[in-house]
Amino acid sequence: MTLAELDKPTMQRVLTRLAVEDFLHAEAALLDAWDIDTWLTLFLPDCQYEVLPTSVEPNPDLSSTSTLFLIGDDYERLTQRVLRMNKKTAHVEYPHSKTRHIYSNIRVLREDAESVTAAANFVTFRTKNKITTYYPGSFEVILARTESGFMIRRKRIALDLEALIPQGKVSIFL
Amino acid sequence: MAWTAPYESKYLRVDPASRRFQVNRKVYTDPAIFEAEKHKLLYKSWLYLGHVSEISKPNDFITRQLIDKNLILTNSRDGEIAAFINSCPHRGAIICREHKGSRKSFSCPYHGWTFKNSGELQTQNAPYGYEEGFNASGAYDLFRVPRLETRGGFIFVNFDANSISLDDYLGAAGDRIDMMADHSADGLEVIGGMQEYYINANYKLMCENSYDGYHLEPTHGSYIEYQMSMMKGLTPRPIEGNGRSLDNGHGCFELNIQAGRPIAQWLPVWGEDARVMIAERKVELLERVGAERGEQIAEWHRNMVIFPNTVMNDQQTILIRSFIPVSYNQMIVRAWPLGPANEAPELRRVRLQGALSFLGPGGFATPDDVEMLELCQRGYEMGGLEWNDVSKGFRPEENTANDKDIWNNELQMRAYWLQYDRVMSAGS
Repeated sequence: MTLAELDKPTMQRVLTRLAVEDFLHAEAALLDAWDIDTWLTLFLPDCQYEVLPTSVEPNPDLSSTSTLFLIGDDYERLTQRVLRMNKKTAHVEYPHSKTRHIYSNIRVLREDAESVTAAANFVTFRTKNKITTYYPGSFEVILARTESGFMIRRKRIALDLEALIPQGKVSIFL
Repeated sequence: MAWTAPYESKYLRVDPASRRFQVNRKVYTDPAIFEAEKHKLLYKSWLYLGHVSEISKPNDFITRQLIDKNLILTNSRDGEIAAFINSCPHRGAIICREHKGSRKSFSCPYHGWTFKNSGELQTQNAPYGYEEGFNASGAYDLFRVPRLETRGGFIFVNFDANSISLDDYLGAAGDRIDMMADHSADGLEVIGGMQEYYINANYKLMCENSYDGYHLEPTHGSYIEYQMSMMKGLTPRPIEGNGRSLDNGHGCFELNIQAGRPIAQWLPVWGEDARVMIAERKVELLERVGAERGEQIAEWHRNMVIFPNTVMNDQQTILIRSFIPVSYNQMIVRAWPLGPANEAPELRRVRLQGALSFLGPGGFATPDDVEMLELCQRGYEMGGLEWNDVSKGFRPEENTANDKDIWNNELQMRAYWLQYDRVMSAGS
């Protein structure tokens, strides 16, 4: 949250944050279970799922239309990514690696009647072929309020790395 | 050359009678061979360092690791491009700690020795205590990498002062670099978002993989299925393609597949605006370079390996990859996308879309290549099995320079290995 957000009535602030935390913890659990078909249902059709490049300083104006991101998916490409990761021919994730997503420092940045924008720190562990690597970073999510609860409009992930050393790849969902 | 008799060295085993061409797996696993490679091969070859657009203005600089060495690549105040070892001639500290910027001089953070961006020692900060004319010979200037030459805006360096010129070294590969530069009358530029990642495998495996047509279907089945879904609305044309050996160990494979290129090959999923703009680009291209060369540039995807560690791909985007060995079984891959300077935002968008879906550590194909190379490296390190096979399409009369075969044979890899053997077996 921003310092200005702290001026809001405590109860409202905390309840929004708890609702966001519940949602994000459930999202992380789907990923760690590799239930990516269900995970995909959390996204809106106009969504963006992005992993920023490690070689460029993160800033809100960065766009995958003018800078090479690590991942810059719209709903169509994200769907294709999920389809691919369920196939045996997605060799990098066959068999699926073990992952553990740890989210922390969850803050509500902005909220209105339509949506909540929240940020979190994270570290995600990936184990494959007896080697464990980890991905530290932060993400920002825009969660739309819908009749069936929160849906993800955007998840933008910034890794605290200068290069994918030693991770080598982003083959898991962050 | 034509093979008339069997040949065997520390690295290769060739039997023309049974049409077998084999590479000893020690080239991927033996630390002593890796050390020898550094001195006999890597530090005596032309190595890709960067593109002129990365240091386009006087005083621009970038720093970049190449094999063991951290280099500063500068465009001097006089507009001269040069590369220097990023270590102070005084006591050795790394001088420049930024990745890029603009600066007329570089000061060592330790004792304050300061150098012009053309390499000359400007001041020792507290110069008393030194003999008059202490640096008259220039021995305390920044150490300049002996050779730096460019082709089509691509900057290569060589640590061997006596090397043949870059143009002679590139041979027939040079014209294919010119074809990339020909994409645009305004020149090319590096697009932000360089990718840099580790692979736990020997760097030569990444060269082999980069122009290996044979692996596409088994390794990249899931990508090909995705690509088919992108091609809705196009009539598939039969795949034509070639593998080529170029000079001095360089080689390429080229395909006329419809994978989409913002230079001149439209995909329906990109929409009508992009179709019109791409059609205009193609007309401009054909007028500028001629119909035959223009069609070659527009319709063909090329993956080219510049011996020993550079890949220059002309596909969904131009993508340069440099493989920096860390040890015999570990490399850093660096990849830079390039596009025409002044490219329309809509075309830049489809360029990056195409690049992102296939290439790179978050793409639909590269991570599977990485997995294969790491499986290979693990396979070699088990030991016991000595030889890799690279016989596919081997003809005893084949030529390692400027020969041609179908796209999914292994001619281009044999050209690489023969050059490797020539360099590594010389004088031993």
